[in-house]
Amino acid sequence: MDRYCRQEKMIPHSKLKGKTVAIIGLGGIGCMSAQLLARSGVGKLILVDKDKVELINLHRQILYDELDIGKPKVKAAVAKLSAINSTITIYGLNMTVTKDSMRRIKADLIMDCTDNLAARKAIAHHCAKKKRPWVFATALATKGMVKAVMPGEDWFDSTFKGKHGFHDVKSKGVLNAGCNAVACLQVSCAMKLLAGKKVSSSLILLDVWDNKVEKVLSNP
Amino acid sequence: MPCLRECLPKRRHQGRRIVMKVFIEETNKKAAIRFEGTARQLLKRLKINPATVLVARNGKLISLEDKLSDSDDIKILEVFMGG
Repeated sequence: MDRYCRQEKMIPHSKLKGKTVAIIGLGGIGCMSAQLLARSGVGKLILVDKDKVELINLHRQILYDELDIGKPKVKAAVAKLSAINSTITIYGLNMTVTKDSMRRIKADLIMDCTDNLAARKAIAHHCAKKKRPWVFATALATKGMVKAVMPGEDWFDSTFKGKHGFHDVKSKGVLNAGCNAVACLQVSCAMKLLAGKKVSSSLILLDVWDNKVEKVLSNP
Repeated sequence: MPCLRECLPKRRHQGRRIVMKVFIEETNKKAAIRFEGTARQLLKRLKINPATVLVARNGKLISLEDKLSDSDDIKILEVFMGG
């Protein structure tokens, strides 16, 4: 029996096996997104993060366990994902995301799973230059946002220009169900993009505490 | 947080009150107010820092300079960058 037969009706494996997806940031969102993409049989994954695994990551970052504490996240993630799916290629890049370092990323699609504005700006800049789609995803406390950004769409810069001083995970915390639900929506968008299907340009808003998912049209 | 208690408007259209509905996501508060001006002016009135939020009018993100009217349905969305 074919390994991917249970997902063939939604997305044929032929659409995934030749594709390269970069997952930028291996935190709560990135761990789940990377795992789902690996299980789905995306041909090549590039994992990017500069951090080491800490005890405070374990409640939500599902690729790591206690034995990984102190290891680089990319190293631990590559080991886990290779055990999950040995038929795909997985690379880890232990680096800070900047406009310069993003030049090393050659992918069909980029998953933005970072936790700061500067890294997201670097991803937006890189994807605009290379004319590649990317999927923005962010989570905080019980909430999240997801949006597929298509080549030529100046969404990120126009939406977040001048934004600063907002809350982060240190100040407000993050629920494991929240960031993992965000990752599931992000991967769903990614699958459709990889399959060449139409993807909504709306910003998806999610709150797992209040059981709310809604879409906001987003071209200010 | 700003006090959101406002006088209900006296303006009416076809017998119904015209009010702007405002939902502030961060505090999960709703208000019905009379307001005309830009999104930036609304945030100032509500004492919300415009650098930390996005504003949606009738289900669509808008710029801070867009003009609002009494009949609009406004959502003030918290910006966050956690991953």
